[in-house]
Amino acid sequence: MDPAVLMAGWVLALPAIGWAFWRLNKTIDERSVPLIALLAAGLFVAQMLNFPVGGGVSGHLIGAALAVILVGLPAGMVVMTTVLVIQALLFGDGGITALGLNLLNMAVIAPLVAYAIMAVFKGNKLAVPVSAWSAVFISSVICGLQLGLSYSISGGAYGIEMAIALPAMAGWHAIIGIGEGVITGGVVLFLGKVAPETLRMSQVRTDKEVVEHGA
Amino acid sequence: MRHYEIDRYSRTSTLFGFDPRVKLACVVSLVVVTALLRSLEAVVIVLAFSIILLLSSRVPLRHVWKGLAIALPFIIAPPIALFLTSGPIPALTMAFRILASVLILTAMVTTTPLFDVIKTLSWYRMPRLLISLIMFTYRFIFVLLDEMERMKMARIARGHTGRGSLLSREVFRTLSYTIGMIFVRSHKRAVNMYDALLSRGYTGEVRTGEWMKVKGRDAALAAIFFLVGSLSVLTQVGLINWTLLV
Repeated sequence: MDPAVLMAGWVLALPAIGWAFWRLNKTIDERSVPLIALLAAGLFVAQMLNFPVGGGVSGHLIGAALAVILVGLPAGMVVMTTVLVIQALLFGDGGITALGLNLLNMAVIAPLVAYAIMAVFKGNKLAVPVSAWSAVFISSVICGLQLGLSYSISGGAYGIEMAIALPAMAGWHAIIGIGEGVITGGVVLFLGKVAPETLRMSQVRTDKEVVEHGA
Repeated sequence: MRHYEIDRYSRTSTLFGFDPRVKLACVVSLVVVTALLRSLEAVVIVLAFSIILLLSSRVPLRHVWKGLAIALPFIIAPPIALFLTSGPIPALTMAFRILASVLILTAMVTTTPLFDVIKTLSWYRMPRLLISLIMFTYRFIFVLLDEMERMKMARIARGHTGRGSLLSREVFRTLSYTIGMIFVRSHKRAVNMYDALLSRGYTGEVRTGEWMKVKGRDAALAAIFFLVGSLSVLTQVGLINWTLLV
């Protein structure tokens, strides 16, 4: 990645994440700490399964939508931040300088997209899988753009050429997103049936839950 | 726990005794400098240093390799793409740059006990919420892995074979329900663990008796990192020309 792009990532990601922490600190309920940490642990395990896809990029499940649906937007962003910081600092996976961009893509953009779609399609049966798919797809397109931009800014020293990076990221993540969408939908449905208390604190409610809690 | 133990060699390594705050500052600054390097010679200096650092840390190479294997797709894939568009030298530079950063970070991570990293982070004024979430998340990763193991065993005991097409709905249903159930069970355990902490007076803050102290050898370590960083930067801007020296 080109240093300018890396810097831009940090500059854009930090205020948004700062907001999420500030917001969560104000509204957090002590009982929700284990749930938030457990989600982060789960997403960490899921993200360990990353696999290289064509064109020099690799893909993995993100889980941002699941986090947003279960614990709400600020907490979802905090969950993603925790996962990424652990990957970068405790396991040396993912890099320190690239952390800014990773945060921007996976801890800011992906949760925002998931949140927006959940808000727009409130009550729709397909809202959960669609928001999970879009979160994966849109953040991967943006990541592809960043790689392409790095390549053109640095004149070929960093990044990957746009014509390769964009289709490789977008194309594969469109497919990965389907898997993520179906799994997220299934998990949310299951939790709604078996353990509705885990869904209760979400700000964007699923239709299932609205029926069960009568609101 | 039979899982990958990140702390296994952290206390026996020669790099263990250094102050983790100094280590973290050194490693982060060198990685940032490395990210800015564009010339192959400059990157090679950092790479050589990272290899020497790892070898002198006395961490078994097999253990290093295990950690490296996770990051391998990131090291190999991008340079291949760059090779096709920009030619071999930029691709090699990129591969070495990524490898060097990963190795330096690995040297730091494997030689510092997890709790010291966390203490260091809080010394650097990271948000308290993030620190406690990192600690809980780390603990719960093993709860999850443990529950996953149990569910796997239970499934096998009931005759689950794991065969089935990725295109069938049943596979995704089984997968989602399994993930959901693991989540529910782990959540119960996580809440119990949290309650246990609360009942012992946990308020979100971790206090420890021993505290870190910067000593002479920490200054020496910082000086070495600084030397390597400036050598590579000087090479980058052309003030040192290695082809003339060799």
